[in-house]
Amino acid sequence: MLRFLRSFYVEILLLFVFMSILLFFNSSTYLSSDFDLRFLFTFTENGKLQILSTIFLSIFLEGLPFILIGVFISSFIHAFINENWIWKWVPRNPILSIPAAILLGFALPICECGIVPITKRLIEKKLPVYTAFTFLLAAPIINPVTILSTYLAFGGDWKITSTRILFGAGIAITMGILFYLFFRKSQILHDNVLTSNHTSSNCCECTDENHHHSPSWKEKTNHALYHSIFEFINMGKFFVLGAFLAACFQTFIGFSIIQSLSSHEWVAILLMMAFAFGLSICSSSDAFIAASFRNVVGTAPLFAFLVYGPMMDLKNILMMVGSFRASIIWFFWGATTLLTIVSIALVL
Amino acid sequence: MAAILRVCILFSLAILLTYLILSRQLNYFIHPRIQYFSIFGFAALIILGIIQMKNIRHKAMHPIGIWGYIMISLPIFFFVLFPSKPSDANLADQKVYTYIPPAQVDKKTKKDMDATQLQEEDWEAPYKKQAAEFKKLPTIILTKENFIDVTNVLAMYPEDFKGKKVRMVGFVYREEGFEENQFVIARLSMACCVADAGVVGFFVETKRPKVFQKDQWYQIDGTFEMKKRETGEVPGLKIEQYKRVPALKDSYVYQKLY
Repeated sequence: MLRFLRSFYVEILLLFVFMSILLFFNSSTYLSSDFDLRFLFTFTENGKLQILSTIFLSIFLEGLPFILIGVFISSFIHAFINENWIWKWVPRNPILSIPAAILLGFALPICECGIVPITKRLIEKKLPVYTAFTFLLAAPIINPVTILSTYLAFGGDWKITSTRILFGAGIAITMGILFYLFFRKSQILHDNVLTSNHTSSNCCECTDENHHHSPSWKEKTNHALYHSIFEFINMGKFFVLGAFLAACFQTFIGFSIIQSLSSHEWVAILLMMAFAFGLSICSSSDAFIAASFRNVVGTAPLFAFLVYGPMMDLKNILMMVGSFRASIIWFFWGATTLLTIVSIALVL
Repeated sequence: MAAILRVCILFSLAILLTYLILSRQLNYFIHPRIQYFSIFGFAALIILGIIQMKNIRHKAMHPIGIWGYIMISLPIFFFVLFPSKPSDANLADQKVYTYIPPAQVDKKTKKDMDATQLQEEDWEAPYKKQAAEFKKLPTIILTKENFIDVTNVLAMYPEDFKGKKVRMVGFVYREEGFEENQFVIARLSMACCVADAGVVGFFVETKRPKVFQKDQWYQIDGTFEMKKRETGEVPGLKIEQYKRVPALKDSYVYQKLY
């Protein structure tokens, strides 16, 4: 059975996709044709599952364009930028390059959905790890769209907006320094990511040749686009899984835990962070959610949500699993979480 | 073979997007403003699909496991399996009822910041203008377009609007801890996508609790007043007339983004 599946999985899947397209166009007529198969589908009437599906699809549809943008940028970096270029723009000194990474976030207004493929690609292009991770953390908070939406959501309150930016920048810089101290020399990406990009299949051999006979602009564009297909599906699968888990989180746990928040501030901070992690709302809109919690929770838990949410969420971690080493992800996750808790508890 | 599969996935996602955009169903999932990005997404998927088509004879670039393909086509399966949208009242149960709409300022924090007084007046100006406009109306009729504006203004200047006639259409929503005769006549407000939707509405107390059941939609005429709850004062309506209406299909109200 397994062997059968393994040898024919592509065909079986193809069948599935075509079936779904067919169903897509005439779902009601198709189901009620010769055999009444509707009894098999009674579970689709289940209210909870409908909610799950709606939330899942809405996260997916919202994130899809941004994933595509991220994938495009990443593939163009792959095809056009070579390793020596980066050093022209990035200062070699970590004291300069870490803050520079924060400004890069401001210049590249990418929200968190698109950030992982770009970071991965930058690391592949030998951007120092500490700079790349600073960028990964800072970009979703310190970008024009997020700043504007925070400002609007809190009714034009610059104090909240600027506190959010400062926390984001502070944590990103500290993480950058930590990465500089611990992971300067170690390998960050999975082996298979590295090999698949440099030696294995047909496409990448030609990139290696690129350095010798420098192909035309058109060839490079073609190659970049062709490469983004792989990148899209490869990143997309983790994104979809993340969106699905986030939808489950919202459907089966829901916002009601917020209302049962205990008055104890510590618990509230942790809960709000768990909440931000599980919900995986886009960083450009999470301020609106946070604003609606304002009368339920205090300032410290509110900032825990605002700061931790964009930097760390379920779907991003899952996307990272696809290309980064497990130890790196654990460190990244653990240290950022601890830093957020400590800094928020100390400052607020 | 994997190359064909990739073409199928790219194109079926593009078809999904086209279908949602053309049938206007995308409104049920994401904010209309963000839908421009979806059009871009559609174009990008088509371009990628065509490029993969051109290269269909070659072996697909870098292998992707079977689970990857299943994963990425999950949204399509979900869309096909669950074509009907859940009722707003059901969705609202997953959400948090925010008596106070997002733009309302916390009066306490405002007093703390005397230095930025000038700036605040600046951003408050448009709300004041709107408030003046709403005051002139004999009855404020809430529509899809002005819903968020009206609820913001009413919550910001409750004293000015006390006793004002308001008419709105919404669904009956009861939160845990509500008495039987209490409910919120509510709408779901969306900032970005359904995942961040929240419940916005007016608190109502009625003498006929049996009439207003979950999942029913009513048009309610009433006068505006503030009601006391444990969490503070909340905007409410004193009910004068009501009429059962069919559930709205395109039922969300959208927050203005930028």
